Amino acid sequence: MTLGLFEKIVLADTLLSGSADRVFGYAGPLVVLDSWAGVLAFAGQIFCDFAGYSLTAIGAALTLGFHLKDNFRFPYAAIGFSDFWRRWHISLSTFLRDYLYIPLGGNQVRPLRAASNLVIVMFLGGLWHGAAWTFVVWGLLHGSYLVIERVFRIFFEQKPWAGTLPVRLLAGFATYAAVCVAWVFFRASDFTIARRMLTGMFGGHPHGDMILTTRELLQIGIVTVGLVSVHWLMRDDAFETSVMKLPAWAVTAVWSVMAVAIIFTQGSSNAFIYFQF
Amino acid sequence: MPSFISNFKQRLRLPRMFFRRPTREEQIHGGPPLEFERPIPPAPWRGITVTTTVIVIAATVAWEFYARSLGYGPTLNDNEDLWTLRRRAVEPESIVIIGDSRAWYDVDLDEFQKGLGKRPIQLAGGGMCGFPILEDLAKDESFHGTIICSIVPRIFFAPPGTPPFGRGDKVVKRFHSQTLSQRASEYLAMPLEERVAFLKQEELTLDDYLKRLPIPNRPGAQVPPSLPPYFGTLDRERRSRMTEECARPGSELAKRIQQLWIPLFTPPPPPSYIPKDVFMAKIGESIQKRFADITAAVEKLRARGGKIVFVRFPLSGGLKELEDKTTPRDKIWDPLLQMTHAPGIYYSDYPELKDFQCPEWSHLSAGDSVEFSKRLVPHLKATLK
Repeated sequence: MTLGLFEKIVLADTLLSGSADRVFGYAGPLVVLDSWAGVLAFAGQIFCDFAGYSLTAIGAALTLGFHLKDNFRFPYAAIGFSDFWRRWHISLSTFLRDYLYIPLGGNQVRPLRAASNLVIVMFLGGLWHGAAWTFVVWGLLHGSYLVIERVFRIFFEQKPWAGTLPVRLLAGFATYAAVCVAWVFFRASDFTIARRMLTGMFGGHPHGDMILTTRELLQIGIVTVGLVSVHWLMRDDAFETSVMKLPAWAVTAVWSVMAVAIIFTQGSSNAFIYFQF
Repeated sequence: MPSFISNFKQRLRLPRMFFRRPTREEQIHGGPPLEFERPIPPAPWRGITVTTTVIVIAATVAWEFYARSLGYGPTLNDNEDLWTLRRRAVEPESIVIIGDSRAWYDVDLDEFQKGLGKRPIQLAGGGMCGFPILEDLAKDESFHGTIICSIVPRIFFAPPGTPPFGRGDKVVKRFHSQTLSQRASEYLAMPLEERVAFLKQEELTLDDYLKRLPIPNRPGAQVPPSLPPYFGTLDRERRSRMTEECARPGSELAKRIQQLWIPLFTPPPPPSYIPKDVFMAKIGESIQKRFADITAAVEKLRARGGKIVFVRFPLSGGLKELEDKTTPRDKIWDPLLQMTHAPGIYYSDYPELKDFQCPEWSHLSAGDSVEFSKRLVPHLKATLK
């Protein structure tokens, strides 16, 4: 519960949400750095918000004797998009797999049909988040990612170099970057904002505005690097296994720091992002 | 044979009190347990819990002492839930104060009650545009009381999308959508905030400390101006009072706040992505629309017997010079009264009101607010007749 509250109150609400809101709410063009910083801030915010909420619920349930399954398994260390969806919002992705993808035929059909199944499932997954075309594009983008990944697997999965560490790291980095690009459509309230953000991210506004302070850029950088590093270090473990590896004094120190940070942060009543879906 | 206790626990399905090592399958994701059970890592949890609790309590107590050593005292946080509590107290014939922080600091509720015969409800707030609240009260068919509305032109005429308008809009939305848990949370928070000094949502949070780090910004970065530090206390009726430290003549705190008002009240340059003339035209349109909207709200209120009086509260020093220059009286105040046909009290028109000095240029000290309110009441009574 403490970790969940720490993720929500300290990381999502305090260190990331303000920058993400300002960048996505800015009406003018932004330079590359500020555009990417805003997107990375939102990528961190939505994970810490939703995973924090899930962890808090898991902890609260556990104190009452209910054992709930994980809803997130270090998704920003995913290698490929099918791996990402096995790690992100598992309750939704499992539902989509069991009640949409498999009834549609899953991958037990001709390749073209299997690809269209993926796109249909992700399209509906996007629409599940809200009746907005931006969510549809987000879902379609993820559907396209899954299809492209499948094509890559056909050609490259058996290559001897495919499982080497540099290739895995590169694939993980590409997955994270592509997921961040998709987040633009998830966060932007309309296509004008999404287009402006993407143009900024890919250097289309060299003389755009700089609206983030150096302190905010540092915060986003430190939290993003820390978050992605932790995901990579723990990607093959359960949370409990990682705790088991730590000595008692380290568990005490980490727990204390998180609890003190929560108290000092004095979170105001920011609703969870997923409450709107 | 199972003991009475274990049998009892089994029947009640109480949580596990003892921990076991997770199996290899459970350590690696994708493990197959049919009946899911979260493994609890083996560790001396009792010792860890006790030590963590001691550390957290010690750190919290130390933080509290530190906050008090800096001059902070226990006071309520002004948030939308506290505002909503007061908004709920509005009755059909209430006297309601709306607008910015000058109405918030400069009005003494006791003096108004003595003079007007009714205890007013304080709904003004720091940097808050009063228009969304005026509009909401005008729409409230049950309300036909009196509104005392503070006018600071840059705040009351702030267009949607700006922080002042956002503050007013946020409290109104919270009033109409407050959940039971938000309400309960406020009732639980108030006794704590009245006793603990470090509970300051806009001053002593981790975020505020990070904002104060002396990290230089990139040349050309558009950084919003800083907000003033803590200089007031607040009670459950949302009566705000300036701290003695800020009210002390020549105090460092007051001087620091004076310098923070200047960038906050200076019109920002036009955004880089809109030509200046287009931007200025849009600002002009926005102000004209606000005049029309205020007039419509006032007429709606008046149609069912409600009353409104606009008040310009005192200001001093460099801030007065700046406001007089950027938002002159004949551009905002005079047209406002002409269009709405509502009464107005401009502090400098009255000898007994015009000589008050604001220690930090924008608000009266707690003592002066009582005297000012006492002197303002006869004018209010006269205009509201």
